[in-house]
Amino acid sequence: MRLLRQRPAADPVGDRGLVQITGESLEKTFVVNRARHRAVAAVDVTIGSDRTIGVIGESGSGKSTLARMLSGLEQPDGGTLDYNGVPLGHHLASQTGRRDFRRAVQLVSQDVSSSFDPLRTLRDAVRTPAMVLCGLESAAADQRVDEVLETLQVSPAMADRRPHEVSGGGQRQRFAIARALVVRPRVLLCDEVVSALDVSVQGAVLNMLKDYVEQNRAGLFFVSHGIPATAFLVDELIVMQDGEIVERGSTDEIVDRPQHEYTRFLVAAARRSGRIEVVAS
Amino acid sequence: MTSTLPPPAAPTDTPAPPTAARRPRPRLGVGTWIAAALLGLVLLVAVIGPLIAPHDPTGVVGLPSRPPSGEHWGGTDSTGMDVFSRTLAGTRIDVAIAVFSTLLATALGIVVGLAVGMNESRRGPVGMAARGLSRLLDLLQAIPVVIIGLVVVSFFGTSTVTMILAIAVILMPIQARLTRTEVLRVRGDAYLDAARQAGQHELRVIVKHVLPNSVRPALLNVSVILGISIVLTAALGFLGVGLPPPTPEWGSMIAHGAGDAAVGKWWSAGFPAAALCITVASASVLTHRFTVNRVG
Repeated sequence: MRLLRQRPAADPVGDRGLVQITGESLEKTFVVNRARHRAVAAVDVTIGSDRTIGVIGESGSGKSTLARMLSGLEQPDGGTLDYNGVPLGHHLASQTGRRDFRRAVQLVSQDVSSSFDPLRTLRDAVRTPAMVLCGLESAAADQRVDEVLETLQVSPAMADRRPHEVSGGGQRQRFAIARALVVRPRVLLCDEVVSALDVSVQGAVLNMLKDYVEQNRAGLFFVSHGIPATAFLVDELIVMQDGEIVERGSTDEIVDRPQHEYTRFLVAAARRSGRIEVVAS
Repeated sequence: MTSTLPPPAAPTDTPAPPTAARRPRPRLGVGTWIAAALLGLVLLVAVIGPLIAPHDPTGVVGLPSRPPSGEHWGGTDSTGMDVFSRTLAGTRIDVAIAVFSTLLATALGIVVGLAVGMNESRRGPVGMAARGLSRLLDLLQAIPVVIIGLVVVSFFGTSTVTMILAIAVILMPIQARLTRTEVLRVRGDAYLDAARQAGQHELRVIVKHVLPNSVRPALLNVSVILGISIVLTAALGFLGVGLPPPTPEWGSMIAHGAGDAAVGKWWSAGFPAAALCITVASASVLTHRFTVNRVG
């Protein structure tokens, strides 16, 4: 257990170098009730601290699985996944490599309800990455937590509550984002972070993410059902269907001149709902 | 890409929602107090029993098969040993076996339940081993418990340590399956992925997050298996594979005195049987009282 308590040297500024994750021919298959379900098939994708990429598609199209693979939480069944030119598995196998990667790349999950340990305070959840990954002592980590929470417009006093004592998915989602931002990641992966929130809270959360990316020159990989929220944040769009990428390009190209039938369907649906005008250039 | 979405919401500090009003704590009934007093008495006797026994519990101190009297409060058994002294002294052994076997079964059960629950859906040899262990737990629960006890005692001989091991093996699957079920519920929760993303080692994630969130049912069940282990200790003794005479142990005493009871000499088996009933009944009443109030 002594090894587990070792911390990296304190480095509150963090590495500002280019970070890149490259996946080639990524595949993932799940077995559910002895039936094989292909979640991701032959996907090539490169994300990094210099790019903002959005992924859209219907439920079950493989968006979340792709984000989890890129975050190192899910192992691909096939293909290669490299972090800065070295296989990601090599990084994750060692404590130092794992912490370097986790510090640079953070995923915010879509599941707000179970994303915090019910027996621990929200402060504990947000503070732990700062202590483990950045090597901050408890007091310094608390100070960092308070700074991030103020940036996200959450009162630091709320952090001393347990998850069930905080009302509203919006507040919990802000804490989930704070947990990722507290280590100042170079690449932020967001998996349906606004899907469960009402429209007014969605706007606030999206603006916070946009501010972080722009102010820190960080990369973003934003997974969402909806084109409007995604197009608001990213420069490039990927459209997924049945585990495959059916179209990719700049946000303007995809929104204005969709080529694939499925993309046209998604854009038309967004236009019918009237929300795409909100973000259209 | 434009920034035309609504501006961020104003800082908010909503008060914590009012927690659900706690149910008024029900009054403790007379039965609960009596059960607590009796169990307290049993535990006290387990500690000081041999010291306050009026006669040597392992020696022949009188004529055989004498009924209760002022000299021998519980009479004597067919070999002339004092029944009351042996019942008092037997409390320590039965309670010690029950407590240690319960602690061992719970500790092992929690570890096995965590290991199986966290790994049984994995691919590869680790997943196969976990699934195999899970089926073994099913098998152990399907076999009558006394038979498992008989097999373990037959292999390793009869001693206090063997009895503790045998009963722990019998009871461990109960705790393991309770823990496994909870782990299966917890292991998909997103906060485990968040802990992994915080750079924590998998073992630390299990100890810090999975264990505290999945151990409660097994801990609540401790009082239930404590009662079962007392009965099992007596049952193995009754079947002749318990601690050998002259060691005072309730099950062996009941088995030894059963033949006398058939011809009207009830006291040899009656006193240890009464002690066994009082212990198990009071433990059951307290268990029911506290588990119903906590879980129900």
